[in-house]
Amino acid sequence: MTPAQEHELTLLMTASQKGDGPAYDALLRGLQAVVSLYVRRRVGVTPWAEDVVQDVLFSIHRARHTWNPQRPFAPWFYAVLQSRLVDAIRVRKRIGMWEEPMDALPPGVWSESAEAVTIARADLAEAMRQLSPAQRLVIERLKLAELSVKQVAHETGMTESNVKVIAHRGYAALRRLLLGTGYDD
Amino acid sequence: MTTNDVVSALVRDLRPVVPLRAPTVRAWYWGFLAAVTGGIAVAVFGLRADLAATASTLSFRVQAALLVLATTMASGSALAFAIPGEHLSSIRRAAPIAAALAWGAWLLAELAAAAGSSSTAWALDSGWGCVAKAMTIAAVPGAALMLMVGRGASVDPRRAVAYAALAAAGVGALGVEFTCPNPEVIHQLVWHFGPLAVLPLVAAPVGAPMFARWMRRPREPRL
Repeated sequence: MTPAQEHELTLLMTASQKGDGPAYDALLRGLQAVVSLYVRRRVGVTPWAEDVVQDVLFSIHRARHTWNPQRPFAPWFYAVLQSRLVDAIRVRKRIGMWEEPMDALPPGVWSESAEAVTIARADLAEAMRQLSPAQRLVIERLKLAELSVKQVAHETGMTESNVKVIAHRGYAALRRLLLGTGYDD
Repeated sequence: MTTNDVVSALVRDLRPVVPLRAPTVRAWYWGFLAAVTGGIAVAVFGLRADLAATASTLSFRVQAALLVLATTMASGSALAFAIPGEHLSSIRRAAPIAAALAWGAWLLAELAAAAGSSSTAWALDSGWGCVAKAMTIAAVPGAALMLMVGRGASVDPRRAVAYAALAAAGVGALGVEFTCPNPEVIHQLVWHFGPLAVLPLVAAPVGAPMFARWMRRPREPRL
């Protein structure tokens, strides 16, 4: 964070503590960029970097009354950021202790051949074809394109709750179709 | 939920807040509260009969001074640890612990001296009454300090709770010094100093998770 950035963020935070919505929006978007860069520099590109960014923003929101406007903003902000990042790394390490990489499993535990995978993919594609066009579209955008519900709703012109309902029914239909072709629950 | 969604939700949830006062100012408020409530509790229990004579001794004065130092410094540290990024020098971190340990060392030295001249110096009676008194005296100041720490957003809740517990135990121990007439050093070491030494060690792991709640984000609605 440069001194100019810190000065700007300090002004935005002061206004945010008074309930100024646009200032708060600008503050969070400014901090989002700083946090993303910080996380990327510390842990590289990871799938959970965005989770850390969101955690930091939540924490800043909840702790915003603890920043004293007469004190510099950066130490307060970086203390929150560092604490959330350390927590995230700790959680990922804990999860990693219980997860086995697939190639480390003993032979026989996972014995899917390339042929079996191809068959499974074909069955899934066939099951997808049997869904309604709306269900297919929503599941493809959510799971293959990895968009959020909000983004899919925006893209398709549906409401968010409609997207959720269609996706839910689509998953249930997929499950029924795959169970009917001999797959386990 | 994307980060844009999070930002929008947080902006919608924005309410004006009153920034917390500086930890030093809050420590003064707490010190005043602790002095008043602790004083009332001591008055209710009744001052020890030999207080006038004992209070003039060097031993009592040194012990009381060490307890006051440990208590005030610990409360300041606890409140500083409740604020993210609040700078706390290593001297300020060490001072309350050093003062508490110095009190223990003083009692040990007195015990060693007493053991040389009396065979009953090691005879220990039951002092649970003193522990109960100390807890009663410390109850309101301790609860108040925990609330004040909880109003903050500690990124190191273990230390915040440990220092808060030390401050609360210090108030209790100081109050007991004014109410307990037992002159035996072993009694003071075990039943007066003991709880002060144990409470922060127990409170830190037990209480810390409660003060880390502010970091947890609300669960997103599941699809």
